[in-house]
Amino acid sequence: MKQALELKINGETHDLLLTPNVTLLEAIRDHVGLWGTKAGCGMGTCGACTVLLEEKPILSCITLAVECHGKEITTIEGLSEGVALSSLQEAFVRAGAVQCGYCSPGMILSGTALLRKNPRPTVADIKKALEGNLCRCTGYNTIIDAVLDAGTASSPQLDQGEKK
Amino acid sequence: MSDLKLIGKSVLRRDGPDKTTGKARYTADRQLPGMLICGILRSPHPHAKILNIDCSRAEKLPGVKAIISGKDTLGIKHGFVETPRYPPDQNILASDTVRHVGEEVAAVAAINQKVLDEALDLIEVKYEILPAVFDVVDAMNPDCEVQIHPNHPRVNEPFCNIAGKTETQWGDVEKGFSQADLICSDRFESHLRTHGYLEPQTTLADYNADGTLHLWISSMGPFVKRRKLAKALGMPYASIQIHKAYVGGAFGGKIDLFSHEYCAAALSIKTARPVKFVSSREDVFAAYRHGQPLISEIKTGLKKDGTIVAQQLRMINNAGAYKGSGVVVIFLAWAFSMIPYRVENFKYEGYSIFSNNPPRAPLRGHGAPQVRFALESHMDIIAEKLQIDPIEFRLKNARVAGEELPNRDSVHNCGLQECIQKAVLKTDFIKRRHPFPKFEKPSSLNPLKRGIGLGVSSYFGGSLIYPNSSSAIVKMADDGSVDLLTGAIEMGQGSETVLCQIVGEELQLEMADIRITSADTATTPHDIGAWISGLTYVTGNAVRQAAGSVRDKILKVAAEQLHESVANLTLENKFVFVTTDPERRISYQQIFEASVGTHRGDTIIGEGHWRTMRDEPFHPSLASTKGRWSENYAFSAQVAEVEVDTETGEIKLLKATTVHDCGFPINPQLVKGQIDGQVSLALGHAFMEDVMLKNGYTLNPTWLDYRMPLIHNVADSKDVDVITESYQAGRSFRTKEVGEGLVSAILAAIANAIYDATGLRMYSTPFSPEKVLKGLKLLRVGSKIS
Amino acid sequence: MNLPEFEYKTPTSKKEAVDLQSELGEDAILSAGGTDLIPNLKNGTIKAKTLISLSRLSAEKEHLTEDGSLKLDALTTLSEIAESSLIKATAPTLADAAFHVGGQQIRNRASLGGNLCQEMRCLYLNQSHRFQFIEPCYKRDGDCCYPYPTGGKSCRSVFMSDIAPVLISLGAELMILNSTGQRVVEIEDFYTGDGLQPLTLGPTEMITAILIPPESHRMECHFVKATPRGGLEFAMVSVATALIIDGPDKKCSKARIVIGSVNTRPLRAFQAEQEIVGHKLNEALAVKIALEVAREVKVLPHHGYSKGYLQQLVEVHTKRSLLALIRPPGEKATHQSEDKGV
Repeated sequence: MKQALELKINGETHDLLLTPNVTLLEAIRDHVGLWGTKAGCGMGTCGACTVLLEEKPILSCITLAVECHGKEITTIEGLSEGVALSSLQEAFVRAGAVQCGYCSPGMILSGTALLRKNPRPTVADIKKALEGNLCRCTGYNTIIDAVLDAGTASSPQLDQGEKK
Repeated sequence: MSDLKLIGKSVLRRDGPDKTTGKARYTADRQLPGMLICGILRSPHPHAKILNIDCSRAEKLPGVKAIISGKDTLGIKHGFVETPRYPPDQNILASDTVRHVGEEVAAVAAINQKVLDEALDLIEVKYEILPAVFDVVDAMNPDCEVQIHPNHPRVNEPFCNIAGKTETQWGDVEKGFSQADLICSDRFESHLRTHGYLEPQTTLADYNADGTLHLWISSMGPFVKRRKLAKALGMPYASIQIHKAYVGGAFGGKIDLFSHEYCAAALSIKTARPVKFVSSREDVFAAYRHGQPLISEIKTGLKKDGTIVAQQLRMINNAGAYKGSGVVVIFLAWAFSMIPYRVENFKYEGYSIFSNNPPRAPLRGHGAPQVRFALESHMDIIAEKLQIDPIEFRLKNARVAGEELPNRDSVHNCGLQECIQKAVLKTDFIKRRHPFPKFEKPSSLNPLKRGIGLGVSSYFGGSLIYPNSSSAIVKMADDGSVDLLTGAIEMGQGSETVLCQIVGEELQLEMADIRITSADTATTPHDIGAWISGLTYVTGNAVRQAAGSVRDKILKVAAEQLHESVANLTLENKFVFVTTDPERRISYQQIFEASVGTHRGDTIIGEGHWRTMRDEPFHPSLASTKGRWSENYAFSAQVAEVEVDTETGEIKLLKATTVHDCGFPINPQLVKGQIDGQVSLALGHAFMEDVMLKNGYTLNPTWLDYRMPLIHNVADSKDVDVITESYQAGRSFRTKEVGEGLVSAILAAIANAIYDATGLRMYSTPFSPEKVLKGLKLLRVGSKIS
Repeated sequence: MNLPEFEYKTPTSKKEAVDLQSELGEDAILSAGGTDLIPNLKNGTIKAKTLISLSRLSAEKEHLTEDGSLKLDALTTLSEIAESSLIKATAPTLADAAFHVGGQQIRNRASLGGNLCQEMRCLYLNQSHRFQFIEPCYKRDGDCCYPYPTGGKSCRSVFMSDIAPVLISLGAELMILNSTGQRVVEIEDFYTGDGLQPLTLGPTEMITAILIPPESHRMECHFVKATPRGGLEFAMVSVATALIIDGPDKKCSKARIVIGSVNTRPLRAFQAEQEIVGHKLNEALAVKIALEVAREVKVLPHHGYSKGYLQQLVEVHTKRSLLALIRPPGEKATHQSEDKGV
């Protein structure tokens, strides 16, 4: 039985009609048409599908879309404002923390959530916040550099997609 | 090289903004109207005859648009290698026999996943199960009753199931051994691990009414895919266009033809609708190609002073059910064995053996990690037996600049000695290592033991294998900016950025003035592809040549317009000016206009072509190793610092130091990225990654149970360049590869560091906690460890 | 991989939820965060015609009851538990265990109740069986067992919850609701040890709350989860210890040592516990007890780890846990690396 639901993604509301077995990831990619959120494994083991649900990072491939009705969702497309990258997105580019880029959306969202709560994280904080995001290209060294860089570069009220 | 504009600078990668904002488009991110999805029915048996395939019930299911099985294909086989000696042996879809679990049997195109799953369940296949063999020693055994490919061209050997053999020798090993003061024999084994690319295997095919087939594929180079697809489909290349898509990692696992690519294409042709295939992660683990396991048997004869007088090697590879890249890895294992050190008398035999496991593919390094782990451990063992310093021992036998290799390649400006010396200096190696590591009883007071180890490796780039060469086109736009057309594929290594840097250097343009169009088989030129580490050297030189051609035309027109000779002209900031009188200048825009005006509409287009070994017609023989094949040898020495918990067996890689002769780095930040990634891959290989196969079935087809490094496992990674080459505009350059060669010496260094820390010598990967504890226990009771 | 189809109900109260369960019986399953349920539905290990989603129920915030028990709503997420100052103060090993489950994305959705009822794990189970291990095993209502082909009709898959061993060490109780009313069960009795029916939770029942008795506040506790990589994954072994240490002579009057992730249920080392009671814990005793625990607890090989190796880990980590309890606060263990990495 299809259900009507409203998904609020990056500040915009989308009206969808979905069966309950559709995951949030499928809803975002196939029904709303935002392809930035990636499918890596479908089983909640790699973090590529990370989005923010009410500000908290979750795995969209193992979350039902119907359970997110009316809740604020942020995908990677929601971090930049126009052509201006968020400070963490810029930091990733600057640090060389992007190679194939497939893990980047999920990684950046996990990092963004961390910095919004804790603008000056330690390396241990960063590792804990990003432990659920796999990367095969970078070895994580530059990813840690990027989050540290964005952390010290930001003001205490971390930008919510604002230009630095 | 400090007066260069862009070369040698850490220019930010140009696809960074798209990749960090979610705009970068990978194959699965594309939706086409009327798109169907494709699923594949796979064999549940490791070895079986197919008696019957009945698709009738599935075909009747509403929502199913087409089904194909082996009989619907042209029956044209494919393979990683396709030569007379090693003809292609893989079927797109199984014809009468399946030889590994997960082998492709049928493919369905349906309107949605639910229908697809149901249809796959409705296809009935009758199998007659055949006996199977999995272990390489069992499969090779002359008495083995399972013949996986009875019609495979026989290699004249007393072994069974031989997929291929490589054999070569020089000098006289028997004589060499007879003159040796010490003979040392060791056996090492490297296990099965996998690529772990984040983006699954994906293909989107769209067949148009005009007879053209459009594809987007997650691959390592579209030209090989086009060639093999064209052959399998019976279509001319011109009818197939593979479009650019970003690739979410490959590491060697996405090179040759995959069944699903054909199936998506064939189903699209059949239905005249777009068809998309996305593999499940589980299928990637259980049915797709992994890396090459290798057994290394080494016997070395030495003089007391450490001169290597004879070496005999036998390498055995478990290829899986089809040749895959197994026949290549046994050739490469020879190469990786003989490059770094001089050996007077040498004999090599490599066997690739069939077994009823999924076939294997290159995995970053393609044999080098396995071989260097074996040989560098062996070097340390020898040094201790001879009681000579392991560094001096290596330096004594290490290649020097200009030296000729046994296959008659030159190592050109080899920086190996400097790499070793710098690595030792930078890590304070001599002072910190234990000269004769002793086993110490684990103590609660101090269970952690630290050690340091060194490894040496060599890699090469751009060798002749189809597509063999790269071409590039640079064309000017009226405002003086340029378009670069290159078939090079961007899969994370930063090729697009590096190639633009080269154009910018040749034409003194900013990155913003260069637009790159890449990896499209119709609109961009033929390219060597992103394996065998060819892109930066081969495509880079093609791009340089194309940009150089544009540069020459710019200068020619400028010379005409300024009434000066070319020698008196300088390029800068999209202007050409007279060197001795800079006020006399002409902009690129004006040059373009003048060219059109005075050269019959010439819009200034440059083309460039490059291949390695320009005077060799063919690639070397895989079986005999005869033939030169690379002019581009990279060298490295890497040092690992580890910490072993002697109570739990867990090992941490604390620090990796990479000193490498990369020629010169075009983009130091991208080089560092490659090194960090390879250190991570090596530590995964060393400690935690293991594809667990049992009777052909994969026990751990998930990322929870196949453990790749997490951010917790990050190692401090430092790198030092040893510069042996340089860049000069207008001249060809020799960068050396950095994408594959730096995963090997570090793996070897880790093994040597474990020995340094604990006195425990590891002879097989992974260096799992359980093996470490078992080994320490055996040391404790005084016997030799395994 | 797709989720099979199901009916979806969203009750707005606990009572409504159990009434629905009662009505729908075994074909329905409760769903909270879904972090264990959804992957298992995808790979077919769990089958359900209806999901009864608890997403519209709100979780009561953790608090101390009148008698000093720490009460936790079953719907509390693991990240809430990990970050709660009350839980960190009164049941620190619970906060610690929660902090080490999965990654933060999992912890933000996973519920306490869901974690305690998670599906068992085994290499042959944790995959989708489209072309591997197609014949269903006993756990999947079939007729065989892959790792133990001659073991008879039983299941030796492993229960991997990290929270359960900690709660057992603290002597927790579960409040369980069904359509006829509420019952309280000691968490130790909640787990049967039968891999095929691991929980004493009926198909029409729901855990509503967890009570940790006031005695636990004065226990010296330690928790360790041994993983290959230091995060994200399930344990190789886990060790939860809780001791009551009294008086100026610091003798132990009560001890619980619980080993998780090695069998079909968390296991207490009863005999080893008795060796501590009445004594002052010191290094020699810690070493001795650790050896006893490793001997006593029945370890099953799992996920590629051999029995012998896991037994070794049980011994080492029990010893390290006990040593941690006698170490002065602030002093680092000898097995903790000085190098914290980059």
